[in-house]
Amino acid sequence: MRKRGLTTILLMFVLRLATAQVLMEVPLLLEVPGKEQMVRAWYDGEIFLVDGRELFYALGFTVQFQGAQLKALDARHQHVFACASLPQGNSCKIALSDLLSGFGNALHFDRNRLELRASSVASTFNVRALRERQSSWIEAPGPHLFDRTRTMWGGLMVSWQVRHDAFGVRPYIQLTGSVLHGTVGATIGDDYTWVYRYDRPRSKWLTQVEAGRYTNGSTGLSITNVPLARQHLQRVRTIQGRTAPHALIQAVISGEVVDQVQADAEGRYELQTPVWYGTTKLEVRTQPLGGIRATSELHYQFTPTSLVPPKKVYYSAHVKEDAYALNLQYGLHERLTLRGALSQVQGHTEAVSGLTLSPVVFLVLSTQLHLPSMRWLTMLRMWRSGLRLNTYVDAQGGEFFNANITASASKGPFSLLLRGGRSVLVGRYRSLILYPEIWLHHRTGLLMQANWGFDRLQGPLVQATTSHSWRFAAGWSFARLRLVAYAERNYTQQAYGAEGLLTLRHKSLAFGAGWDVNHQIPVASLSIQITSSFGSLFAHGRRDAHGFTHSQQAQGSIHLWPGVALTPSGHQESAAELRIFEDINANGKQDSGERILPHIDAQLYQSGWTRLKTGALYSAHLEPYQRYQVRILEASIRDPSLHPATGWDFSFTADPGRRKVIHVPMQQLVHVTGQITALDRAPLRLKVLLNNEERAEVYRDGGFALQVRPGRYTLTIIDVLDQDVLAEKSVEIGTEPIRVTIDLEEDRL
Amino acid sequence: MVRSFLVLSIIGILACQAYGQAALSVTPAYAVVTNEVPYGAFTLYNAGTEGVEVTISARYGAIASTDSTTAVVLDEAGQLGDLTKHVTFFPDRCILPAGGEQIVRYRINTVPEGGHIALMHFAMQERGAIVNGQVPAVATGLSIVYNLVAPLVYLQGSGIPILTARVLESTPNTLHLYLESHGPWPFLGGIRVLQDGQQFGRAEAAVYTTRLVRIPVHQDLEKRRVQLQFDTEYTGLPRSIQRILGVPSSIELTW
Repeated sequence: MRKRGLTTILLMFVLRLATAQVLMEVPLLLEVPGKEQMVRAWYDGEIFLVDGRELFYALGFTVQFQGAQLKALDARHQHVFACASLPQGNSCKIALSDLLSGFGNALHFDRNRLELRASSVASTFNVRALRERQSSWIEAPGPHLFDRTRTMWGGLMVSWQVRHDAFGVRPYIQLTGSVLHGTVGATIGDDYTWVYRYDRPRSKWLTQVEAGRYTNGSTGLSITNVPLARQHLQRVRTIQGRTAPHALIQAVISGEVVDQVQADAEGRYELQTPVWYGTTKLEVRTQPLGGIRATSELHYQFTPTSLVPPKKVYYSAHVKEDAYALNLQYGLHERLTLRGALSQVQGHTEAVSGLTLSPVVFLVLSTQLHLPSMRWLTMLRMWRSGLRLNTYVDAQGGEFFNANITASASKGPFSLLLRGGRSVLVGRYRSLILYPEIWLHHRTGLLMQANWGFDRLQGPLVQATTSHSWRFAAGWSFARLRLVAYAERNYTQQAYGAEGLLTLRHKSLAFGAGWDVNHQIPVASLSIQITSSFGSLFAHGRRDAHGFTHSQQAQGSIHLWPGVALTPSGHQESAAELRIFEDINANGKQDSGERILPHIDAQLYQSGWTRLKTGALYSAHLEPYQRYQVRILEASIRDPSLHPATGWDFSFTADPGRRKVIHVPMQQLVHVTGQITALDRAPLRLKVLLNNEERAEVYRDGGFALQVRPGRYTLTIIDVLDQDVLAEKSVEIGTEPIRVTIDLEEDRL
Repeated sequence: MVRSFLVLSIIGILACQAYGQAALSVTPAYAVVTNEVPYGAFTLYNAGTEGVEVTISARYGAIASTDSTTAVVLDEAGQLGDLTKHVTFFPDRCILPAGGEQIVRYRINTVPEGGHIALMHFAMQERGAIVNGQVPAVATGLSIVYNLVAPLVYLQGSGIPILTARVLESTPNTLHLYLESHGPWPFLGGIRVLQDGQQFGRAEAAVYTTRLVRIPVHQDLEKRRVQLQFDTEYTGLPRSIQRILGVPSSIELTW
């Protein structure tokens, strides 16, 4: 009896031991946004265990072992799990149920498919790091096609203006050109100036060199390393929102998708977007799951341009005939910049020392002290949604000289503006100015404006005098016409009248007419702008109460030939011209006889195109050095065999002061259909590499399809799960479609 | 003559739900092009949450009716010409991820005078997940293929469709007609039912060869004698195409 009992206990122990040791190894497919990976897992009939080290490495964690515990760490998270047994060989089995309870709904385990799927909106681990999106937030603008091409001669713009006023007739001409691998700007009027600039936007120590003759007739040279465009990341901003459940959300900056998530079941989402020094314009696109079109909204992220990235030094140096100046800025912290300057003008030397502080992202304070004059300047800027405030204080010797304030706020159709200041003028005269203004822009088209001005002057020789001014205007804004009636009183006149703006397709007319009741004379202004295919003309005339401030001016442009135009404005306009042409000989260049295909449309994110007579697409007023993304609209291509050699999407960087011509060759591609035979695994695991670069998916039946240019190619079959290279085949592709068969046994490597 | 009949539901709806997760739609549901603009595009959109594989082909045929059913008929389209020899399209295969969109462009090359037709077939197959242990034969075999069909009609020149009609059934609310086309020009437009000059009902139909048409009428046609008048107003048909399509002469019907 006793022996039987011992035998039973022994059998139960052996059975239990044997049962505990039966662990069936199963492959678990881990799906995280952007990649898939197999992770070792085990199943004992009741619970699933997973290899903690493999799993947490795959999720982007650093793994540490502490006794029978596994610690998973990343920059923001720390998770501790108990190993099912003592770790062996840096391996630790973790119960999947522990893992799922630890990560909440960030991980989903499909027991039937043996899939562990990570949510793209997980907050318990860094999904974005896994997607390697950080690489798009590099300090300098990322790689792009169509880099800047420097030329000896890249076009010329001539702006002109003729003004007639009380001082006589004054012509003015400004030339802006892209020549000698840089840009030249020159003005000819009462005096003349010219400046030549050579820029190196990617350089660290010298971004721009400038030399020329300036307004006072002095010649000089300037150098700087201040970035010409946004280059440095200041912070990462988290944007939270709510939309339709499971909607797809994209954050787009300059046409580049910087983050993409899917809203959760309640429609909540959280985007992380980079914010550069300066202004970052962010577009959030929302597309409901199953929805056809995405909607978008804009956000603007501001970072004071006066702040310098940490540990960076910016300098600018100017040397002229009778003066020199050196400015230095050093980023001590991402919110604190130290600055100093030394200058000498006509033998007078001055040193400046100061700092710029941004304690919160919507406020910046700058202060500087001038030596030896002991003049102290302080500036405070604040901006919040719908509210802006600028203040400026100037003091010397412990006494305030000037203080100015500008504040604006807007809410719905109302906007409020307040300008005011206190100044100390020559002869110890003091002036106090207050100028509040309110605007109403109603959606129905109603416009209203009301302002009141207060000006008080006080001095040692005169009594304090106070004057008031006011203006009230009300009108209506239609699609093409804006008409406003006004009544105003200022220091010289009291007038009643009406003003308006009429916009037609190629012309616009701005007019104003009123009656000055003080002087019993009419006041008027008239502006007209006409645009045609041969040029444009802008003319403006004005007459006010006293007659002596009357003025007339005209300016315009004449289009001569591509690259040379007389334009009405002298700023450095950046533009792009997209020439989509049929590349018959497939050499990538537009040869004679290869015509522009005028029916093909393209989308330019954050800007728009106009169609030129040549059939090319043209976009003006681009931001220099900014990266723009283009999408060729496939539905507009009439010939199904034509494909853009640039790909359907590409980007370019706008050049300052010149028109960038972008050629998009449309080429005939050859259709290659293929079939993989002797399959030993599911075809969906396979991909086809073309010369180890482009990838093509494999269909359920083992087929694949490619469109390529004629040439010799190597087709490689890989398994995406275990990254095995399975087979390889070289093919010669001519101008006719071909069919390729790759046998996993015969063509196996 | 080979005739294949598929259910009408997959023709008319042109958007289907497969395996619960993948849903493909094709727009436009049909296309009529002319020698002035001999090109166009279909847009495929996967509104589901699973990826799909789509195989695209052009087959000669038409949507036609017998006395009781309407279905896709392949390899026969009456006097309409075979457009498949003259149409080039791209791509012929694609993979659409969830929410993905694909444009299928087509162009018609030189075609003889008359109306021509091709049925664009979009065969959709769920792509499914990558599973490590899946056997190749199972992976390739276990799948349901859904076919969407969009007629592509090409008109070279212009002409007037020749139609005949007979009444299949007349109820107080509906008039059931059987229309037959006897010429090389298809009819796409409205059919109006008139009795003594008064309109009793109207319906739109595309008649390539034969077509059952059900016209709702608001009054019982007791006299058993009506006149059919035709127009070219057809939902989704551009006005430029409506101008090319001729209006058949009216038909007097008694039963």
